[in-house]
Amino acid sequence: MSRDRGDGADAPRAGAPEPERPDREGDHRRERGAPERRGCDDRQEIELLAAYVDGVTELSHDERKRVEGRIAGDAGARTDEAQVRELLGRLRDLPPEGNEPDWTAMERSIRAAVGDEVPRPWWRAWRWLVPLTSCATAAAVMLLLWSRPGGLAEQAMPVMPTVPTAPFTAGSRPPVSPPSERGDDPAAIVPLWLDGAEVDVDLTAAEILRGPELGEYDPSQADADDDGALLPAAGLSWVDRLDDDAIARAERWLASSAATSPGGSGDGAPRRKKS
Amino acid sequence: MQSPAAGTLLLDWRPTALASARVPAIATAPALADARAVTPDDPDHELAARFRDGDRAAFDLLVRRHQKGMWRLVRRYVKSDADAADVTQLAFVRAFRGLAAFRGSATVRSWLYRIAINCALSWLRDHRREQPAVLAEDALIDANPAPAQIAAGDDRARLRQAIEQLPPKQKLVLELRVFDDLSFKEVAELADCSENTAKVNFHYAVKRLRDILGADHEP
Repeated sequence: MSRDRGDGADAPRAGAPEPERPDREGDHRRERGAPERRGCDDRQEIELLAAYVDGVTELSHDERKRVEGRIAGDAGARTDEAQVRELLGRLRDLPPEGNEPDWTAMERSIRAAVGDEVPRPWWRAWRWLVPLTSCATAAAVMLLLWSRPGGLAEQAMPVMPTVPTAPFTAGSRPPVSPPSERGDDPAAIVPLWLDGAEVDVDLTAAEILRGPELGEYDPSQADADDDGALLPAAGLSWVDRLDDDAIARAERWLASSAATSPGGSGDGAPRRKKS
Repeated sequence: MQSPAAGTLLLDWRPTALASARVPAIATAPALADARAVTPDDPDHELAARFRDGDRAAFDLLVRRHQKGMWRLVRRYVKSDADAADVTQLAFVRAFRGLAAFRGSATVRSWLYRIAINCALSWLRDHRREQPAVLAEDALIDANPAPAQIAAGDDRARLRQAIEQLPPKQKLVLELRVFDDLSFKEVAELADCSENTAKVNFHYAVKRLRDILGADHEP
Protein backbone atom coordinates (compact mmCIF):
# COMPACT_ATOMS: atom_id res chain seq x y z
CA MET A 1 0.00 0.00 0.00
CA SER A 2 1.72 3.11 -1.14
CA ARG A 3 1.46 6.20 0.91
CA ASP A 4 2.11 9.79 -0.07
CA ARG A 5 4.61 11.35 2.19
CA GLY A 6 4.42 14.92 3.26
CA ASP A 7 7.47 15.72 1.24
CA GLY A 8 5.44 15.96 -1.95
CA ALA A 9 4.24 19.03 -3.69
CA ASP A 10 1.47 19.48 -1.18
CA ALA A 11 3.79 19.94 1.73
CA PRO A 12 4.71 23.54 2.40
CA ARG A 13 8.38 24.38 2.49
CA ALA A 14 10.21 26.59 4.89
CA GLY A 15 10.40 30.04 3.42
CA ALA A 16 7.51 29.46 1.05
CA PRO A 17 4.86 32.16 0.84
CA GLU A 18 2.54 31.88 3.73
CA PRO A 19 -0.76 30.24 2.76
CA GLU A 20 -4.04 31.57 3.88
CA ARG A 21 -4.91 30.57 7.40
CA PRO A 22 -7.96 28.33 7.17
CA ASP A 23 -8.72 28.16 10.84
CA ARG A 24 -10.57 31.42 11.15
CA GLU A 25 -12.54 30.17 14.09
CA GLY A 26 -9.37 29.23 15.87
CA ASP A 27 -7.90 32.66 15.16
CA HIS A 28 -11.00 34.26 16.54
CA ARG A 29 -10.71 32.27 19.71
CA ARG A 30 -7.12 33.30 20.07
CA GLU A 31 -8.02 36.93 19.58
CA ARG A 32 -10.62 36.67 22.30
CA GLY A 33 -8.00 35.15 24.52
CA ALA A 34 -8.62 31.60 25.52
CA PRO A 35 -5.21 30.40 26.57
CA GLU A 36 -6.24 26.91 27.60
CA ARG A 37 -8.13 26.33 24.36
CA ARG A 38 -5.31 27.78 22.34
CA GLY A 39 -2.84 25.49 24.09
CA CYS A 40 -5.05 22.48 23.27
CA ASP A 41 -5.30 23.44 19.60
CA ASP A 42 -1.57 24.03 19.40
CA ARG A 43 -0.86 20.68 20.92
CA GLN A 44 -3.21 18.90 18.55
CA GLU A 45 -1.57 20.49 15.56
CA ILE A 46 1.93 19.66 16.80
CA GLU A 47 0.92 16.09 17.61
CA LEU A 48 -0.07 15.58 14.00
CA LEU A 49 3.17 17.00 12.64
CA ALA A 50 4.97 13.67 12.26
CA ALA A 51 1.91 12.08 10.67
CA TYR A 52 1.70 15.05 8.32
CA VAL A 53 5.33 14.71 7.30
CA ASP A 54 5.13 10.95 6.89
CA GLY A 55 1.75 10.61 5.22
CA VAL A 56 -0.03 13.80 4.39
CA THR A 57 -2.83 12.02 2.52
CA GLU A 58 -3.78 10.08 5.63
CA LEU A 59 -4.81 13.22 7.44
CA SER A 60 -8.28 14.60 7.10
CA HIS A 61 -8.70 17.84 5.20
CA ASP A 62 -9.24 19.77 8.40
CA GLU A 63 -6.22 18.25 10.13
CA ARG A 64 -4.07 18.93 7.14
CA LYS A 65 -5.11 22.55 6.90
CA ARG A 66 -4.50 23.10 10.59
CA VAL A 67 -1.02 21.62 10.47
CA GLU A 68 -0.16 23.56 7.33
CA GLY A 69 -1.37 26.73 8.95
CA ARG A 70 0.75 26.03 11.97
CA ILE A 71 3.86 25.32 9.91
CA ALA A 72 3.34 28.41 7.82
CA GLY A 73 2.97 30.67 10.81
CA ASP A 74 5.53 29.20 13.18
CA ALA A 75 9.26 29.10 12.43
CA GLY A 76 9.77 26.54 15.20
CA ALA A 77 7.23 24.25 13.60
CA ARG A 78 9.05 24.56 10.30
CA THR A 79 12.30 23.55 12.00
CA ASP A 80 10.54 20.62 13.63
CA GLU A 81 9.13 19.55 10.31
CA ALA A 82 12.57 19.53 8.70
CA GLN A 83 14.08 17.57 11.57
CA VAL A 84 11.28 15.01 11.57
CA ARG A 85 11.67 14.59 7.83
CA GLU A 86 15.41 14.04 8.19
CA LEU A 87 15.01 11.57 11.05
CA LEU A 88 12.38 9.54 9.25
CA GLY A 89 14.66 9.41 6.22
CA ARG A 90 17.46 8.03 8.38
CA LEU A 91 15.16 5.45 9.92
CA ARG A 92 13.98 4.27 6.54
CA ASP A 93 17.55 3.97 5.37
CA LEU A 94 18.29 1.48 8.11
CA PRO A 95 18.91 -1.93 6.58
CA PRO A 96 16.62 -4.67 7.80
CA GLU A 97 17.93 -6.70 10.66
CA GLY A 98 19.43 -10.07 9.92
CA ASN A 99 20.08 -11.90 6.69
CA GLU A 100 17.03 -12.75 4.71
CA PRO A 101 16.34 -16.44 4.23
CA ASP A 102 15.74 -18.24 0.96
CA TRP A 103 12.20 -17.18 0.19
CA THR A 104 11.57 -20.02 -2.25
CA ALA A 105 12.61 -22.56 0.34
CA MET A 106 10.38 -20.90 2.89
CA GLU A 107 7.44 -21.07 0.49
CA ARG A 108 8.06 -24.75 -0.04
CA SER A 109 8.30 -25.46 3.66
CA ILE A 110 5.09 -23.55 4.36
CA ARG A 111 3.29 -25.40 1.59
CA ALA A 112 4.49 -28.71 2.98
CA ALA A 113 3.47 -27.73 6.51
CA VAL A 114 -0.07 -26.69 5.70
CA GLY A 115 -0.94 -29.44 3.28
CA ASP A 116 -3.17 -29.33 0.24
CA GLU A 117 -6.61 -29.41 1.74
CA VAL A 118 -8.23 -26.08 2.40
CA PRO A 119 -9.59 -26.12 5.92
CA ARG A 120 -13.15 -25.09 6.49
CA PRO A 121 -14.63 -23.65 9.65
CA TRP A 122 -16.50 -26.22 11.73
CA TRP A 123 -19.79 -24.43 11.22
CA ARG A 124 -19.51 -24.81 7.47
CA ALA A 125 -19.43 -28.59 7.87
CA TRP A 126 -22.71 -28.36 9.78
CA ARG A 127 -24.32 -25.86 7.49
CA TRP A 128 -26.97 -28.39 6.41
CA LEU A 129 -28.13 -28.59 10.00
CA VAL A 130 -29.78 -25.17 9.89
CA PRO A 131 -32.38 -25.82 7.16
CA LEU A 132 -32.94 -29.33 8.44
CA THR A 133 -33.64 -28.11 11.95
CA SER A 134 -35.92 -25.41 10.61
CA CYS A 135 -37.95 -27.90 8.56
CA ALA A 136 -38.19 -30.34 11.46
CA THR A 137 -39.33 -27.62 13.81
CA ALA A 138 -41.94 -26.38 11.37
CA ALA A 139 -43.19 -29.92 10.82
CA ALA A 140 -43.40 -30.54 14.56
CA VAL A 141 -45.38 -27.35 15.10
CA MET A 142 -47.77 -28.20 12.28
CA LEU A 143 -48.27 -31.68 13.63
CA LEU A 144 -48.95 -30.33 17.08
CA LEU A 145 -51.54 -27.88 15.79
CA TRP A 146 -53.12 -30.50 13.58
CA SER A 147 -53.53 -33.11 16.26
CA ARG A 148 -54.75 -30.76 19.00
CA PRO A 149 -58.52 -31.00 19.74
CA GLY A 150 -60.23 -28.10 18.05
CA GLY A 151 -57.09 -27.43 16.11
CA LEU A 152 -56.29 -27.28 12.46
CA ALA A 153 -57.32 -30.86 11.81
CA GLU A 154 -60.92 -30.32 12.76
CA GLN A 155 -61.03 -26.95 11.10
CA ALA A 156 -59.63 -28.25 7.87
CA MET A 157 -61.58 -31.50 7.66
CA PRO A 158 -65.12 -31.47 6.17
CA VAL A 159 -67.80 -31.13 8.78
CA MET A 160 -69.59 -34.41 9.34
CA PRO A 161 -73.22 -34.00 10.20
CA THR A 162 -73.98 -34.93 13.74
CA VAL A 163 -77.61 -35.53 12.83
CA PRO A 164 -78.29 -38.32 10.35
CA THR A 165 -79.78 -37.30 7.06
CA ALA A 166 -81.84 -39.16 4.57
CA PRO A 167 -79.88 -41.95 2.95
CA PHE A 168 -80.61 -41.01 -0.61
CA THR A 169 -80.09 -37.32 -0.27
CA ALA A 170 -76.84 -37.32 1.68
CA GLY A 171 -74.51 -34.72 0.26
CA SER A 172 -77.25 -32.77 -1.40
CA ARG A 173 -79.44 -32.00 1.58
CA PRO A 174 -78.59 -29.86 4.54
CA PRO A 175 -78.56 -31.66 7.88
CA VAL A 176 -81.87 -32.01 9.58
CA SER A 177 -82.20 -30.81 13.10
CA PRO A 178 -83.12 -33.42 15.71
CA PRO A 179 -86.70 -33.55 16.86
CA SER A 180 -85.92 -32.00 20.21
CA GLU A 181 -84.60 -28.90 18.47
CA ARG A 182 -87.61 -28.65 16.22
CA GLY A 183 -90.02 -29.04 19.05
CA ASP A 184 -91.60 -32.06 17.34
CA ASP A 185 -93.12 -34.91 19.16
CA PRO A 186 -90.60 -37.73 19.40
CA ALA A 187 -93.44 -40.21 19.23
CA ALA A 188 -94.10 -39.11 15.64
CA ILE A 189 -90.63 -40.35 14.56
CA VAL A 190 -90.59 -43.90 13.34
CA PRO A 191 -87.33 -45.68 12.70
CA LEU A 192 -87.08 -47.53 9.42
CA TRP A 193 -84.41 -49.72 7.92
CA LEU A 194 -84.00 -48.54 4.39
CA ASP A 195 -81.27 -49.40 1.92
CA GLY A 196 -79.01 -50.74 4.61
CA ALA A 197 -79.36 -47.71 6.84
CA GLU A 198 -81.66 -46.86 9.70
CA VAL A 199 -83.85 -43.95 8.80
CA ASP A 200 -86.12 -41.90 11.02
CA VAL A 201 -89.33 -41.03 9.29
CA ASP A 202 -91.41 -38.15 10.49
CA LEU A 203 -94.95 -39.37 10.36
CA THR A 204 -96.36 -35.89 10.33
CA ALA A 205 -95.14 -35.56 6.78
CA ALA A 206 -96.45 -38.89 5.65
CA GLU A 207 -99.06 -37.21 3.53
CA ILE A 208 -96.53 -37.19 0.74
CA LEU A 209 -97.02 -40.90 0.44
CA ARG A 210 -100.63 -40.33 -0.33
CA GLY A 211 -99.99 -37.85 -3.05
CA PRO A 212 -100.51 -38.56 -6.70
CA GLU A 213 -96.93 -39.46 -7.16
CA LEU A 214 -97.04 -42.50 -4.89
CA GLY A 215 -100.65 -43.46 -5.33
CA GLU A 216 -103.49 -43.53 -2.85
CA TYR A 217 -103.05 -44.96 0.58
CA ASP A 218 -105.47 -47.76 1.33
CA PRO A 219 -106.27 -47.89 5.05
CA SER A 220 -107.80 -51.30 4.60
CA GLN A 221 -104.39 -52.68 4.00
CA ALA A 222 -103.24 -51.53 7.40
CA ASP A 223 -102.79 -54.02 10.15
CA ALA A 224 -105.50 -54.92 12.57
CA ASP A 225 -104.00 -52.90 15.40
CA ASP A 226 -104.17 -49.74 13.37
CA ASP A 227 -105.06 -46.95 15.73
CA GLY A 228 -106.28 -44.62 13.07
CA ALA A 229 -103.14 -42.58 12.59
CA LEU A 230 -101.98 -41.49 9.20
CA LEU A 231 -99.44 -44.22 9.19
CA PRO A 232 -99.76 -47.24 11.37
CA ALA A 233 -97.05 -47.38 13.96
CA ALA A 234 -96.31 -51.01 13.37
CA GLY A 235 -97.91 -51.58 10.00
CA LEU A 236 -95.16 -50.49 7.68
CA SER A 237 -94.92 -53.63 5.68
CA TRP A 238 -96.13 -51.67 2.67
CA VAL A 239 -92.71 -50.06 2.53
CA ASP A 240 -91.26 -53.38 1.56
CA ARG A 241 -93.65 -53.56 -1.31
CA LEU A 242 -92.50 -50.30 -2.83
CA ASP A 243 -90.86 -50.90 -6.16
CA ASP A 244 -87.81 -49.14 -7.49
CA ASP A 245 -89.81 -46.64 -9.45
CA ALA A 246 -91.63 -45.53 -6.34
CA ILE A 247 -88.37 -45.12 -4.45
CA ALA A 248 -86.89 -43.17 -7.33
CA ARG A 249 -89.89 -40.87 -7.38
CA ALA A 250 -89.57 -40.40 -3.65
CA GLU A 251 -85.93 -39.48 -4.06
CA ARG A 252 -86.74 -36.93 -6.74
CA TRP A 253 -89.42 -35.45 -4.59
CA LEU A 254 -87.14 -35.19 -1.61
CA ALA A 255 -84.44 -33.57 -3.75
CA SER A 256 -86.88 -31.01 -5.10
CA SER A 257 -88.25 -30.44 -1.61
CA ALA A 258 -84.78 -29.79 -0.30
CA ALA A 259 -84.13 -27.33 -3.12
CA THR A 260 -87.27 -25.35 -2.39
CA SER A 261 -86.76 -25.26 1.40
CA PRO A 262 -83.09 -24.31 2.07
CA GLY A 263 -83.37 -24.70 5.81
CA GLY A 264 -84.37 -28.23 5.33
CA SER A 265 -85.73 -28.56 8.81
CA GLY A 266 -89.28 -29.33 9.59
CA ASP A 267 -90.01 -30.76 6.18
CA GLY A 268 -90.55 -34.17 7.52
CA ALA A 269 -87.73 -35.60 5.46
CA PRO A 270 -86.37 -38.93 6.52
CA ARG A 271 -83.24 -38.75 8.61
CA ARG A 272 -80.53 -41.26 8.65
CA LYS A 273 -79.26 -42.63 11.88
CA LYS A 274 -75.84 -43.97 12.38
CA SER A 275 -76.09 -47.67 12.05
CA MET B 1 -10.02 -27.02 16.66
CA GLN B 2 -8.83 -23.75 18.05
CA SER B 3 -7.98 -21.56 15.14
CA PRO B 4 -5.35 -18.88 15.46
CA ALA B 5 -8.11 -16.43 14.97
CA ALA B 6 -9.93 -17.59 18.04
CA GLY B 7 -8.43 -15.33 20.62
CA THR B 8 -9.36 -11.96 21.92
CA LEU B 9 -7.89 -8.69 20.89
CA LEU B 10 -5.73 -7.67 23.76
CA LEU B 11 -2.82 -5.38 24.20
CA ASP B 12 -1.03 -6.34 27.31
CA TRP B 13 1.68 -4.11 28.66
CA ARG B 14 2.79 -6.42 31.40
CA PRO B 15 6.43 -6.04 32.36
CA THR B 16 8.32 -9.07 31.20
CA ALA B 17 11.85 -10.22 31.27
CA LEU B 18 11.86 -10.58 27.51
CA ALA B 19 14.78 -9.09 25.68
CA SER B 20 15.44 -5.55 26.78
CA ALA B 21 11.98 -4.05 26.78
CA ARG B 22 8.43 -4.86 27.65
CA VAL B 23 6.65 -6.38 24.74
CA PRO B 24 3.02 -5.75 23.91
CA ALA B 25 1.10 -9.00 23.69
CA ILE B 26 -1.35 -8.94 20.86
CA ALA B 27 -3.81 -11.71 20.49
CA THR B 28 -5.09 -12.95 17.21
CA ALA B 29 -7.62 -11.59 14.93
CA PRO B 30 -11.22 -12.66 15.31
CA ALA B 31 -12.23 -9.64 17.29
CA LEU B 32 -11.20 -7.60 14.33
CA ALA B 33 -12.60 -10.11 11.94
CA ASP B 34 -16.07 -10.09 13.36
CA ALA B 35 -16.65 -6.59 14.54
CA ARG B 36 -15.84 -4.29 11.69
CA ALA B 37 -16.92 -3.77 8.18
CA VAL B 38 -15.48 -5.57 5.21
CA THR B 39 -12.56 -3.80 3.61
CA PRO B 40 -13.25 -3.94 -0.10
CA ASP B 41 -10.17 -1.94 -1.14
CA ASP B 42 -7.82 -4.48 0.38
CA PRO B 43 -5.68 -5.88 -2.42
CA ASP B 44 -5.59 -9.25 -0.66
CA HIS B 45 -9.32 -9.41 -0.18
CA GLU B 46 -9.89 -11.27 -3.43
CA LEU B 47 -7.23 -13.85 -2.58
CA ALA B 48 -8.81 -14.44 0.80
CA ALA B 49 -12.20 -14.88 -0.86
CA ARG B 50 -10.76 -17.34 -3.35
CA PHE B 51 -9.20 -19.29 -0.52
CA ARG B 52 -12.51 -19.44 1.29
CA ASP B 53 -14.00 -20.88 -1.88
CA GLY B 54 -11.44 -23.66 -1.78
CA ASP B 55 -8.69 -22.28 -4.00
CA ARG B 56 -5.55 -23.55 -2.35
CA ALA B 57 -3.27 -21.62 -4.72
CA ALA B 58 -4.59 -18.32 -3.41
CA PHE B 59 -2.84 -18.97 -0.14
CA ASP B 60 0.46 -19.52 -1.93
CA LEU B 61 0.06 -16.10 -3.49
CA LEU B 62 -0.55 -14.59 -0.09
CA VAL B 63 2.56 -16.28 1.24
CA ARG B 64 4.62 -14.99 -1.66
CA ARG B 65 3.28 -11.50 -1.14
CA HIS B 66 3.73 -11.22 2.62
CA GLN B 67 6.44 -13.61 3.74
CA LYS B 68 9.14 -11.01 3.49
CA GLY B 69 7.30 -8.42 5.53
CA MET B 70 6.27 -10.98 8.11
CA TRP B 71 9.80 -12.31 8.43
CA ARG B 72 11.18 -8.80 8.98
CA LEU B 73 8.48 -8.10 11.54
CA VAL B 74 9.21 -11.33 13.39
CA ARG B 75 12.94 -10.77 13.11
CA ARG B 76 12.66 -7.61 15.16
CA TYR B 77 11.30 -9.70 18.01
CA VAL B 78 13.28 -12.88 17.51
CA LYS B 79 16.97 -12.13 17.34
CA SER B 80 17.86 -15.03 15.11
CA ASP B 81 17.33 -15.47 11.39
CA ALA B 82 16.55 -19.16 11.60
CA ASP B 83 14.16 -18.73 14.50
CA ALA B 84 12.48 -15.88 12.66
CA ALA B 85 11.97 -18.18 9.68
CA ASP B 86 10.47 -20.85 11.92
CA VAL B 87 8.15 -18.39 13.61
CA THR B 88 7.13 -16.97 10.25
CA GLN B 89 6.28 -20.42 9.01
CA LEU B 90 4.27 -21.11 12.15
CA ALA B 91 2.40 -17.86 11.65
CA PHE B 92 1.52 -18.84 8.10
CA VAL B 93 0.33 -22.25 9.24
CA ARG B 94 -1.97 -20.60 11.76
CA ALA B 95 -3.15 -18.16 9.15
CA PHE B 96 -3.90 -21.07 6.82
CA ARG B 97 -6.13 -22.64 9.45
CA GLY B 98 -7.88 -19.41 10.27
CA LEU B 99 -8.19 -17.74 6.91
CA ALA B 100 -11.40 -19.54 6.00
CA ALA B 101 -13.07 -17.92 9.01
CA PHE B 102 -11.57 -14.51 8.30
CA ARG B 103 -14.38 -12.16 7.30
CA GLY B 104 -12.30 -9.37 5.89
CA SER B 105 -13.02 -6.79 8.54
CA ALA B 106 -9.40 -5.73 8.76
CA THR B 107 -6.93 -5.91 5.92
CA VAL B 108 -5.45 -9.32 5.32
CA ARG B 109 -2.00 -7.87 5.80
CA SER B 110 -2.71 -6.46 9.25
CA TRP B 111 -4.43 -9.74 10.16
CA LEU B 112 -1.35 -11.70 9.09
CA TYR B 113 0.96 -9.32 10.91
CA ARG B 114 -1.08 -9.67 14.06
CA ILE B 115 -0.71 -13.44 13.89
CA ALA B 116 3.01 -13.02 13.27
CA ILE B 117 3.43 -10.75 16.29
CA ASN B 118 1.54 -13.17 18.49
CA CYS B 119 3.60 -16.10 17.28
CA ALA B 120 6.77 -14.12 17.95
CA LEU B 121 5.66 -13.24 21.45
CA SER B 122 4.69 -16.84 22.15
CA TRP B 123 8.07 -17.94 20.92
CA LEU B 124 9.78 -15.40 23.16
CA ARG B 125 7.82 -16.63 26.15
CA ASP B 126 8.77 -20.20 25.39
CA HIS B 127 12.43 -19.42 24.83
CA ARG B 128 13.06 -16.61 27.27
CA ARG B 129 15.91 -18.48 28.94
CA GLU B 130 17.55 -19.28 25.66
CA GLN B 131 17.77 -15.72 24.39
CA PRO B 132 21.28 -14.64 23.50
CA ALA B 133 22.50 -11.52 25.24
CA VAL B 134 22.70 -8.94 22.48
CA LEU B 135 24.76 -10.80 19.92
CA ALA B 136 23.00 -10.77 16.61
CA GLU B 137 24.19 -11.49 13.13
CA ASP B 138 24.18 -7.87 12.14
CA ALA B 139 26.39 -7.07 15.11
CA LEU B 140 29.21 -8.91 13.37
CA ILE B 141 31.38 -6.45 11.52
CA ASP B 142 34.16 -6.68 9.03
CA ALA B 143 37.61 -7.30 10.33
CA ASN B 144 38.97 -4.14 8.70
CA PRO B 145 36.11 -1.72 8.22
CA ALA B 146 36.63 1.62 6.50
CA PRO B 147 36.20 4.74 8.65
CA ALA B 148 33.06 5.69 6.73
CA GLN B 149 31.62 2.24 7.43
CA ILE B 150 32.38 2.64 11.09
CA ALA B 151 30.62 6.00 11.15
CA ALA B 152 27.61 4.59 9.31
CA GLY B 153 27.55 1.56 11.59
CA ASP B 154 27.72 3.80 14.61
CA ASP B 155 24.84 5.86 13.35
CA ARG B 156 22.70 2.78 12.69
CA ALA B 157 23.56 1.29 16.03
CA ARG B 158 22.66 4.55 17.75
CA LEU B 159 19.35 4.65 15.92
CA ARG B 160 18.50 1.06 16.80
CA GLN B 161 19.50 1.64 20.38
CA ALA B 162 17.32 4.73 20.52
CA ILE B 163 14.38 2.78 19.14
CA GLU B 164 14.84 0.14 21.83
CA GLN B 165 14.50 2.86 24.46
CA LEU B 166 11.06 3.89 23.29
CA PRO B 167 7.99 2.96 25.33
CA PRO B 168 6.47 -0.26 23.96
CA LYS B 169 3.47 1.24 22.25
CA GLN B 170 5.43 4.06 20.65
CA LYS B 171 8.02 1.55 19.52
CA LEU B 172 5.36 -0.70 18.03
CA VAL B 173 3.71 2.17 16.19
CA LEU B 174 6.99 3.56 14.89
CA GLU B 175 8.28 0.22 13.66
CA LEU B 176 5.02 -0.76 11.99
CA ARG B 177 4.86 2.60 10.29
CA VAL B 178 8.48 3.06 9.25
CA PHE B 179 9.81 -0.46 8.76
CA ASP B 180 6.65 -2.27 7.71
CA ASP B 181 5.23 0.63 5.74
CA LEU B 182 1.71 0.19 7.13
CA SER B 183 -0.91 2.88 6.90
CA PHE B 184 -1.99 4.58 10.10
CA LYS B 185 -5.25 2.68 9.83
CA GLU B 186 -3.44 -0.64 9.77
CA VAL B 187 -1.12 0.48 12.55
CA ALA B 188 -4.16 1.37 14.61
CA GLU B 189 -5.67 -2.07 13.96
CA LEU B 190 -2.52 -3.79 15.12
CA ALA B 191 -1.94 -1.52 18.10
CA ASP B 192 -5.61 -1.71 19.09
CA CYS B 193 -6.16 2.00 19.19
CA SER B 194 -7.82 4.66 17.11
CA GLU B 195 -6.18 5.97 14.00
CA ASN B 196 -5.72 9.36 15.60
CA THR B 197 -4.08 7.81 18.64
CA ALA B 198 -1.70 5.99 16.33
CA LYS B 199 -0.77 9.29 14.70
CA VAL B 200 -0.19 10.93 18.05
CA ASN B 201 1.86 7.97 19.26
CA PHE B 202 3.89 8.19 16.10
CA HIS B 203 4.57 11.86 16.74
CA TYR B 204 5.74 11.26 20.29
CA ALA B 205 7.89 8.34 19.20
CA VAL B 206 9.67 10.54 16.69
CA LYS B 207 9.96 13.34 19.21
CA ARG B 208 11.42 11.00 21.79
CA LEU B 209 13.88 9.59 19.29
CA ARG B 210 15.02 13.11 18.49
CA ASP B 211 15.46 13.78 22.17
CA ILE B 212 17.44 10.59 22.71
CA LEU B 213 19.63 11.14 19.67
CA GLY B 214 20.10 14.82 20.55
CA ALA B 215 21.15 13.90 24.06
CA ASP B 216 23.65 11.44 22.61
CA HIS B 217 25.20 14.23 20.56
CA GLU B 218 25.66 16.49 23.53
CA PRO B 219 29.15 16.44 25.08
